[in-house]
Amino acid sequence: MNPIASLKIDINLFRNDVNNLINYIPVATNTNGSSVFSYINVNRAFTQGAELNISYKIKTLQISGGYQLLSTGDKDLLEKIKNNEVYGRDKINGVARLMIKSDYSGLLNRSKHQANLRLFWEKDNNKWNASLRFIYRSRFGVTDKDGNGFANMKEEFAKEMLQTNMTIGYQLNKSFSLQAGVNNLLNQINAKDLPNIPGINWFLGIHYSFKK
Amino acid sequence: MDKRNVIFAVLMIVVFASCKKDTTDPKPAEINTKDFLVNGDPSGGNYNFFSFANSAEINEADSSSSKWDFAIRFETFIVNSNASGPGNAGVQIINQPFDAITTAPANSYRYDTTVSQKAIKGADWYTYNPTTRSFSPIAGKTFVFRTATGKYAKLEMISADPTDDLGNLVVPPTRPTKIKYKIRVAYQGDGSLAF
Repeated sequence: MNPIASLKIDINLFRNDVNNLINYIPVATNTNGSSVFSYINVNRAFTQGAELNISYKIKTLQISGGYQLLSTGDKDLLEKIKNNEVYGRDKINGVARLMIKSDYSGLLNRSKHQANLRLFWEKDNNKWNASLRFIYRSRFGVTDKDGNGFANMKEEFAKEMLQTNMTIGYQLNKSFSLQAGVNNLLNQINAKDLPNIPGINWFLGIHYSFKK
Repeated sequence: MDKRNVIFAVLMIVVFASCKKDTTDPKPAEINTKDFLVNGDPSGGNYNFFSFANSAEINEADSSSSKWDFAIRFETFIVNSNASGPGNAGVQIINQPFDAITTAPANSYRYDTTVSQKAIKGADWYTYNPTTRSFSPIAGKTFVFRTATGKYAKLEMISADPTDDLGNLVVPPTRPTKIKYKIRVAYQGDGSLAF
């Protein structure tokens, strides 16, 4: 078998200029500490970046990974930074200083780096299968505490997140299959900023399919 | 020997120069960071009054005197002159950080012309996001005051937090009754413009 034949690489570059972008951000806090989300309007925004997807198959193991580098921004705000009109603080109650372009972190709720890696293994004529999956997103801005319209101090960001999921499956016969697994094995939780991701989560399943 | 004399002469010049400077330099302004707890009711009620000379809050009983310089209720500022008091106070907001302002402007101070025409408008110094309900003083804005008695002071709003009556932070759904402002102030008591 030619190893190159089973290697697939996909590269994608993109740039979007959006007028009246609708951004999804946390707006309030529930009594249980989680955030309530709503929408705000960004007058002139851009999103740009690069995506790389790779998949590779060696015998019974399939490896696939993806990475996205993302840069976003509010053009009006960037113009103000360029004109030396925007200040910020490096910590809460710290001294105000002029913000420069490298302080700007882009739109709220967007991570600069996102990546995923999936290992999928099949054996005995697809009777057994197992998968291991990692999903990562780097830190992202959630709030603005110094009135400049973007996240620049540590307290304005949600921390990075790595989810690890594992499953094992067994095909009993043509119709029935069994599955066991765990989502978020490392129990990474951020109830406030990512309420959609629960903690460690075990599951067992039985599937029946009607195919002949 | 010659070299030594030169060094001595240079030293003397430095000593004289610094002596001269000492006698002409105004007394440096005193810088303080304070928590200022104010009435958090946007619809009405009392203001909380502040005096730069005392670097402290002033009793409401003195609200018709020149003992206070500015007062805040919720996010509304009043300054002690014209429509708001008997003093001679005025204010302007400058787009520079606190430390960068070393001299107060000699003029262009604003005052409350009527009860509804205030010297300071909210959007001048904070951002309020109606979606997130977040209220943040804008970093890099400095208030420069002429005080009620004609001295000069500068003020930086560092943070604003919703609190209960005792100044403890509250989060929704608890309604705040007070706003705790962290302020940095410098008061030049000798009447000069230098900070």
